[in-house]
Amino acid sequence: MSDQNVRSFSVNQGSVLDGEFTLRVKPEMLPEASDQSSSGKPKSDRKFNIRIKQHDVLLFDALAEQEGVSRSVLINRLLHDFLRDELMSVQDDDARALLAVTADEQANYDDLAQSWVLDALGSDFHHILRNVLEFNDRNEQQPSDHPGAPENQFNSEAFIGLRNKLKGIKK
Amino acid sequence: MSRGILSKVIEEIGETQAEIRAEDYTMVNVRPGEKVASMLDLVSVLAGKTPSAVVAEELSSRLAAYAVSSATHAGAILDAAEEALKQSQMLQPGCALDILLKADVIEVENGFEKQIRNKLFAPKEESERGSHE
Repeated sequence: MSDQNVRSFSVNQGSVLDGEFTLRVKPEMLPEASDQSSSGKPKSDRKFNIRIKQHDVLLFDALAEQEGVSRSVLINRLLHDFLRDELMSVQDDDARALLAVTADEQANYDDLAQSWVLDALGSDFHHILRNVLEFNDRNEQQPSDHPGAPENQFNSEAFIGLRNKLKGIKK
Repeated sequence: MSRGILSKVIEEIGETQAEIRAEDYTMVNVRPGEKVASMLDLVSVLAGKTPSAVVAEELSSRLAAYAVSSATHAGAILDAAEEALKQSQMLQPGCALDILLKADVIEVENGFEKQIRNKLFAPKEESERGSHE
């Protein structure tokens, strides 16, 4: 056993248990370090340089000060709203879901920040997602319901075009 | 002829440099977190623009909408507008404050306009008294 996993120290509390204590951690009982991450992907914590008009910076700072948050928090809030609105502006469910899944695949989410709804309904949610991506329909579908259907039979043109574009990007 | 990797890189370098040199802009460093970063990257790639270019055009209108979302923001709007006018006497075209001005949410009267107004709309007695003297 490696010395890193063993520690010896003396205890003197005036009881019969006093004396030299030895403590051992059994590494074989612990998961590998790489298994501790929820998705196995490294956390990026990436920075972006964003170009902002000088007078907008003044308004950001004034609003942030009034609300007791940093300018960065306020900018991130607006960025999130902007990107969510962009995503929701995609009319076809399957194309919108494909964009969301692709973005999520690139991210490393912290399980602690995940919504309770997703914790509670995660499996149902993934079932619906599969239906949307495969059949462009949230309701229960089975491939056997559609024998001989060609690939992407049920998908929108937006989904097919987007999927092809994303394949090109990933290469 | 299709655009090569190098021409895209050179274009982006030029774009970034232009952004940095633009006097009306400030480059702000943000760490938006995993969720926003991954979607911003995706939208940027699909749009063929840098993340900064994707955001730059949208941010002012988003900020203006946020500013008018609550009456409690009135003080902050005044503070920012005062500072902006002290710096440059007029609001940057297209900035959130300019959008609020055009939407009649804020009103600005500069020194020259005030002088004109005082002359044109001065009380009658005062102007008459002035002419007799």
